[in-house]
Amino acid sequence: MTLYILRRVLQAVPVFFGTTLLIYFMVFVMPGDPIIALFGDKSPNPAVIEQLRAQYHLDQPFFVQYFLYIGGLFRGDFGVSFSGEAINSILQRTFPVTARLAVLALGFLTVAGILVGLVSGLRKGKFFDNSSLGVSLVLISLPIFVTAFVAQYVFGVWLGWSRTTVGSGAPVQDLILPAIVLATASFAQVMRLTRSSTLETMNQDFVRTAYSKGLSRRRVIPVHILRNSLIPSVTYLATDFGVLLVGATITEGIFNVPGVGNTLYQAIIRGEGPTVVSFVTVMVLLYLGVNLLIDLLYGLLDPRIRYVK
Amino acid sequence: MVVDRETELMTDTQAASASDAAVDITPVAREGVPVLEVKDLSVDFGVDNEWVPAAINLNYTVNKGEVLAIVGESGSGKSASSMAVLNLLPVNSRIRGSVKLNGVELRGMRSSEMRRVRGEKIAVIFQEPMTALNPVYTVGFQIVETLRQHYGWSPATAKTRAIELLTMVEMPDPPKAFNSYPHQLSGGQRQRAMIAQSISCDPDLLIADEPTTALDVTVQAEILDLLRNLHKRLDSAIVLITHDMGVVADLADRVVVMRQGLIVESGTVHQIFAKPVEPYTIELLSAVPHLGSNKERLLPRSEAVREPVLSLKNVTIDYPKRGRVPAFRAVDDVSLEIHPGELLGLVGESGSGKTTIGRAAMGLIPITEGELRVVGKDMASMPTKELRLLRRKTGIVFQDPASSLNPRMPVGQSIGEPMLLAGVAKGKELDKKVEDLLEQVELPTFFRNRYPHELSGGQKQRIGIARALSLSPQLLVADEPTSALDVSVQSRFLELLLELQEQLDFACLFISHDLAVVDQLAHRIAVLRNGKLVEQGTRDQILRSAKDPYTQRLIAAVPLPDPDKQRENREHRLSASR
Amino acid sequence: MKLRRVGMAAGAIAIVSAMALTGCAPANDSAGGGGNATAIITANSSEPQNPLIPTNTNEVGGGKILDSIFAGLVYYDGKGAPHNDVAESITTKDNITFTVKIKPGLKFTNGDPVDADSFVTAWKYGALASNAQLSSYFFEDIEGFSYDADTELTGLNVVDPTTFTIKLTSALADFPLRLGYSAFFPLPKSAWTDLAAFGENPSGNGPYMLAGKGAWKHNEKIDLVVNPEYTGDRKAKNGGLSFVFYQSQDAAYADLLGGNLDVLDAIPNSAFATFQSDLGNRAVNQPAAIFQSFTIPERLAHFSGEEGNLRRKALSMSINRKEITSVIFEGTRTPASDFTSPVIAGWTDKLKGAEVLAYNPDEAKKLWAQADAIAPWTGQFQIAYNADGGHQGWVDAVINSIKNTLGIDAAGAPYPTFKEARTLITKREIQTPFRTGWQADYPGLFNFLGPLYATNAGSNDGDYSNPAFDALLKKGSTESDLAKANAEFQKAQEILLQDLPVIPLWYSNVTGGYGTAVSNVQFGWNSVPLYYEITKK
Repeated sequence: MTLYILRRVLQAVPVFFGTTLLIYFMVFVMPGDPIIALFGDKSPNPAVIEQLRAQYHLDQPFFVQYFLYIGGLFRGDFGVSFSGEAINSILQRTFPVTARLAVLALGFLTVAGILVGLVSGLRKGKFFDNSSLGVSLVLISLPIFVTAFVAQYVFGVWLGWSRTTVGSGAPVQDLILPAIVLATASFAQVMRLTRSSTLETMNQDFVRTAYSKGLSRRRVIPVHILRNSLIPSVTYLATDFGVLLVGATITEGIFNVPGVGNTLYQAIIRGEGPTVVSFVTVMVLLYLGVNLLIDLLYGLLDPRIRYVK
Repeated sequence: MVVDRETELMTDTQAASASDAAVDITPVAREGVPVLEVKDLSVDFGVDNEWVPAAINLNYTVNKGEVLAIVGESGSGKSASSMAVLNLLPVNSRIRGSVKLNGVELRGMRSSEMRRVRGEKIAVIFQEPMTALNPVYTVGFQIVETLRQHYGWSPATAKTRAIELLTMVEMPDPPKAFNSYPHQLSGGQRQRAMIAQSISCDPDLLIADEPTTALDVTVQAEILDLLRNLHKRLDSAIVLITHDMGVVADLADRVVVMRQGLIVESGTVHQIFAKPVEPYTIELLSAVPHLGSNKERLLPRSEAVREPVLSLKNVTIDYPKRGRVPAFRAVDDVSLEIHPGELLGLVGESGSGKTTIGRAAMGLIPITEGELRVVGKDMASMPTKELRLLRRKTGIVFQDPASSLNPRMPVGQSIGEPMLLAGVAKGKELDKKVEDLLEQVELPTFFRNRYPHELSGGQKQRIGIARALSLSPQLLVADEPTSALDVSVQSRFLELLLELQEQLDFACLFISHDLAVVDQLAHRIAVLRNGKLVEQGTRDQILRSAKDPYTQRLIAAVPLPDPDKQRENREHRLSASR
Repeated sequence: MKLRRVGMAAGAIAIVSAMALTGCAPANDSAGGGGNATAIITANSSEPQNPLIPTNTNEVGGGKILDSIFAGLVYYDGKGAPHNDVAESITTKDNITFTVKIKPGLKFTNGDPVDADSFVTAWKYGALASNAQLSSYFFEDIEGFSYDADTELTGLNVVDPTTFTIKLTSALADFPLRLGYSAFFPLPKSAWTDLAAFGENPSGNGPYMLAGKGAWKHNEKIDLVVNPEYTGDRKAKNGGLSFVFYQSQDAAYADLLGGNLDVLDAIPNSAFATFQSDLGNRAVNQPAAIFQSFTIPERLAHFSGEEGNLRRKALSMSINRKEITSVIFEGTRTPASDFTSPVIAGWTDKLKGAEVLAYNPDEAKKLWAQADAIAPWTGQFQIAYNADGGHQGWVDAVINSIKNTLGIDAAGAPYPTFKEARTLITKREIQTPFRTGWQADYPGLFNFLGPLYATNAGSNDGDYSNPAFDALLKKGSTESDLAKANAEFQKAQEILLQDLPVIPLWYSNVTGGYGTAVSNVQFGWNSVPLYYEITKK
């Protein structure tokens, strides 16, 4: 098991270099000069531009820039953003916030999606099933920014149940609404996956066996049906973590969450290579980590695919 | 060993008090009262707002220590009626009539009381232990769960008992099996675990629903022996649901024959086998392939000079290492030949490599070593294009006709597709050929417009043959073509295959685990075990005077559809193995 | 000039606006007077893109904070008129050498004195080429300035602790007017030991100061409290400011409606149609010192000489500015009648030749036909713009207006990012007319003209050159009397109306609003609320 984890971690190394190189290159070839854009509609003096380009190594050829960046990384230095702030501290500031949001959303998604899916599956064709399928259809067809705006106005402005935007320090109670909004985007998939796998599991022989042993529904459903139905949903949740990070960019904008999304968006728009690459790299590593975690959880859920020691 | 439930209950006061209320209602075995008494039991399934009967007015009783076999083909209602006893049918069903356990009516019982009956008074053994056991829990967990549900024992007590039970069902290394997941056990071990679970509460009645159908013949014999031993030791009544007359002959005291939801005949096992009254029972018995009852098939034209259609010389096939799955040698140094018009029965238990050989013969799997020739051509050194041409000279019939036909294509199109792709025929000409083929497999020509789900299993398998024969192949590979079919359907299907072969003179590699079927068809037989060829020879050489001990064991394990002969056979086998 | 941040391009949704309409009670007008002197005003802003160093801040987010925590020599009132703040007097005889006298005894919040040195050292730092300060161009008129090499600003001389002199390279009558801009703020002596740390936690001399160390919570907000040491005119009438950094204007607007925000100085595009009814008399919509146009470089085919002049006029007259500002912008833009802005002293809509900015399809067709007679028009007329700034709506409307009037093939040419479009423009690689905009740095007509249209001026993206125009600008710059100077600038504008180096479109309005708890909300000439005047119940 340890060997397996070690191997997976080692696999992350080429991914790390590949991603950084690729993203750095993409930022590099993005049209436009980030320094010129710093001056807005004003045309800066060429000498000032040269001065600034040198400061950010933008006057160097691509590979020199890249290796300067990577060299910094190995000294634990992600570089400095255009605003003069160390990227390390930007990462440290923004990632915990987005992580909190994503984990919260993942939590809502998991609990609500699986619970509703399970009950729907158990009551196929009944009122609950039909209405939750209907709701999920609505949610799946709404783009996340519509859900976000509507939620913000309904719960923030109208009802006043929640702050319209996230307050300073991004406390968990302020993040609940954005997290729910974020979760809605994938709720339908998780709910439907759980529902269909519940339906499938319900008709499995071992469920009949469980009843034939004299077990009650209260035991059969969580122990025998749910656990077997979880497997496809868990796989989906793993891949969905990436979607959550992407969705977070939009949600963070609308709810003014001081997280990764907006910083990254602004960095891309401004062509800040080191910032973009640092953020994407951390996101990729996070994604790999979550996938490893889910793979391990997967083995926990289903012994048939447990990895040999 | 019988567990004394009363004393066990005393050890755990909590459980005792919890079950006090139910004691009065719990049906306790009493002298003179049948364990199970079924009266006017009817089961219907609601299909499209209509009640379709599955079992009609069934009446039977099972006494203490008795084995009642309910025999019938698929759809006869034998399983549905037995599940109705425990009220374990899907929600779209309706049950009427009376079911009494030890004189206590089970119908209309409160669900909490019913739960006490299930598992504790009546236990079930299902057909396929791989799916009947929950794959994500250990065997031990599932047995302990049953024990704790009914007795409220501590985990430690339950574990001790579970290991005892696993020992009782002769599970090798019970403590290890306790911690094993179902997929880590062999088929026979899984069924042992299933049996251990079902006898865990020492039930008064055991319902065994096709308990050995999914197992290899030698494993089946072991499980049947186990059931018989346990039956003797536990003295519980057994309802044995099966389609296999051999199993009936081996185990049953009395027999109920069901057909289309009705009981057509019942009696003691000797009555049924010796003097069947109803035509259906007679038909059923005669349809069972009897090992050793067939005349040897002679090759139509014994021109030994003719070149073999399929020849394997020292063929070895490896499945390469894939990820963490190590390389596996499926076929090891096998040599065999099949001549035109000849049918070679390739026999072996699951995992013996027989299907692999069949696929290699079709050019679907590359061979690792040796030489494989089809119609005289070496498959290994053949370019892909020629391989494709060669495949037209071979046809294959798969085990499961349902999944090998495209459900969205009318069967006529499925039959015609190979011809269309090969450019043999199209348009009107193709239609004609399809109709000819349907006639050859004795299906009405209008069937060509039907979809697979509109056909029965036997009909689908005929379509499978028609498709395999559409390009007039010189070699037909039939991979367990009858294992999904009922006995009576199977015998008609086998007759058809014989006729077709005599007519069309193709060579046939017939893969089967069922010696009786092979007995009926094969000119020659090859026996495989763990990828190695154990023995091959003419049918009589193999089945009548086998030299290899494995072949002998295989033959001895086949249950004979005759209670007396089977008993003889069994005693002979058991004494031989001791 | 201050950049507005490019907002998140989250789409405007009618449904949301409709909900907002019913979701907010009309404002009651009982506010006014009697504010709580300790109440904290929350206002929208955006994360400063640079450390809080005056000479290196050129965008609104940082600018708002600097204006609040620093005091320069002069400040601008709501109308844009300059008043002395730190300066006691600024005098000159020739508009070349200025003598600045500073009020005595002023202190930074860290105790350092506000003296001549604190200005001169800061300006010299900001001007030095190797420091690459974003606002270094503000010092380009001071003697000794160079973009290419590190040279001393020899024009700055400290006479005594409260007096210093500024010598310019040429006469500039409006130079004292510029001194209210943040680039000219002083810095305390202690700043120079670690400028980066200072930028994170600056000590100023303005009406407010940072509420302790760590008051700047990056990406979240910055908290300011009243600076008790401040003695100038801008004395705070509230207890402090909390600038909340928003990633999108939509979020800020939602917070205003939700009661989490007191003052908003930018209404999102999605709420243009509804914010006046949402907020009632708490809505603000007034012209700002922002001029918008599209530039047609002279080097483009068909746009030089006589033919080009006819086509420029034809294009200008084929645009229905009134309709576009009311339909696309919901009245949040004002059609342009010159090249400056109505908030600037000296502005007039009575310039000779201003009729070229009025919609006149018949005349436009006629002029276009005349141009075709010189050389027939070929190809497609395009206006380039950056797609990340919400410009598509009006560009399409302008294009349609041109298409329908002149009957030519025309289209918008979007570039994905501001960065990309701006680079092509700066490098003169763009081959089509392009969108341009200008927000004034200081409230003077010259600022709208000199940097944009003078020969070889820094932001002369269209490379316009007209000696007559240059001469008029120069003449205006040497006039000490503002009215006389402006008269020269207006004459210069009349030349622009003839030449049309850019096609004026409209003046941006400042759109904003405030909550029920605050009153005395007044927006300054630079579209930023005068925070120190705001009172809160």
